[in-house]
Amino acid sequence: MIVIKRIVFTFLLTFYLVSKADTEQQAKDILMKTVHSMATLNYQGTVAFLRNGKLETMKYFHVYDHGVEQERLLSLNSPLREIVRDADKVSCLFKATKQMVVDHRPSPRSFLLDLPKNLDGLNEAYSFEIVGQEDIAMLPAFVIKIEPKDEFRYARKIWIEQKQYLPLKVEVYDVQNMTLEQVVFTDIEVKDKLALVDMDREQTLSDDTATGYVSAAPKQSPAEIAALTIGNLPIMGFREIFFTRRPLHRSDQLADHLLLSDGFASVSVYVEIKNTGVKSEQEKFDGMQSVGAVNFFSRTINDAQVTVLGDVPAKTVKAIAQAVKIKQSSP
Amino acid sequence: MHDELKQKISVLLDNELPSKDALELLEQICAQPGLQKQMERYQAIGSVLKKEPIILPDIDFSARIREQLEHEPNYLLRQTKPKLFKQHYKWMALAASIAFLAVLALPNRLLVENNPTGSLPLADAQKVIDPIQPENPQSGRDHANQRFNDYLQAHDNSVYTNGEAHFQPYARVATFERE
Repeated sequence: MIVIKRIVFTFLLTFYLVSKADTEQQAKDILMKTVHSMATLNYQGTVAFLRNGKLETMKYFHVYDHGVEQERLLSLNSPLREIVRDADKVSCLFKATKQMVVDHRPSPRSFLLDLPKNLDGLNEAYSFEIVGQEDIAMLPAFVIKIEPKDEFRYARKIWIEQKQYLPLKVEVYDVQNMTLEQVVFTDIEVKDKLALVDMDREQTLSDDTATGYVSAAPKQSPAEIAALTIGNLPIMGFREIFFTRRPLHRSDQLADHLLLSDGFASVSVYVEIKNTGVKSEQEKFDGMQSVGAVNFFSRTINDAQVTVLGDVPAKTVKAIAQAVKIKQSSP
Repeated sequence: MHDELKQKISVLLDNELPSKDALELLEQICAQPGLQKQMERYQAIGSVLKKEPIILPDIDFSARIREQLEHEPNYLLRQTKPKLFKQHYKWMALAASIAFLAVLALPNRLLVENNPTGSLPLADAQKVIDPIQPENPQSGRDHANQRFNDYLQAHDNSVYTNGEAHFQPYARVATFERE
């Protein structure tokens, strides 16, 4: 009798593990299709962003034309603005002031959702599961839950439309499972073709466009010149994505910026050396601050002001900040 | 419907509309059923996104209150006339004020006599306290906020979609090179 019980238990356990692995793989397959659809389809809709208790509703357009990808947002509420992303370049035209701002990001990142190109390397940090099916914007969607395996990152749910595999809704949860952020489409439509918008041309044609501002494009700097090193991190899965040294404030003060990512969450580490950037005791900002899902932790190491921020729990930015070491030969 | 009114409704529901504008807008909403429906829609969307129970305002509520007030009977009670301010009270009040000022002035005069520089003791006391305080704490906070804003904008695109009405583009606060 005991032998039979053991056989049945082993069978059930094996069945459970196999089915769990299967649903995890299905969830990953859907997410991979989403990565492809998001990049290669032409689609438009109305999307609502809920962050920090603020609701922002915008018209969204995604264009894919002969290998060129473009995202465009039109705000429906003040301040009225049109934002266009061409790869890592973001242009923002303010309707009221006609002011054009061009900004460069360290890496191309969607306004809607950042999904890693490869999910195989994320098994140590996250588990993936299809937790149901719901309708969003009157479209049937898979609900994929991305659950962290530790307390150093946030959980997410992504609602993915079942035919075209476009994301219809994204929610980010804190460690108490409270919703921190939401991005949700209220309507979405796939088109055969959408036109690319040339913001540079629009600015040139418009006589009354106010003088714009253009940020310096961050160039990948060799990691050897960095003033910082990251010691042994107690957190698995975060990898270096980008390092740059460039001015960040009104002065010519250079700041080291190291971007880390675990695939879904990203963390930036900034180091500025005192006497130029950090002028006095009053300008030190040691401690923790939070803005919605984003946590900041700052500390001073000798002459350097170290600030770590990211859409991760407070303990994560603190742990990374405490693992930062300043090189002796830093500028 | 005018876009400006829609924006104002949205701002009103975020509790960010100045009270004067809010009153004007509420009057317009009461007068226009289209605006009432628009406000209900915005509130429903906001409630869904915030996962709050949807409680739509009863637009007829104020109308029913007004109607009830109109049916309230009027009570014609006799009003008591305020007594006239008697002339001699004025002189008594003036005398009391002079006495009060005299009591206040006396200690100060004694202190000035003991102080050869002639500066006011109150000002000196503030001088002692002031150096402990930062020269301009607001400036320090602004500087910190500006610095965090710069960091956040260099970090990701969320600043363009976070609904902050007073967001400053990164390019305004950093050093830039024209393309």
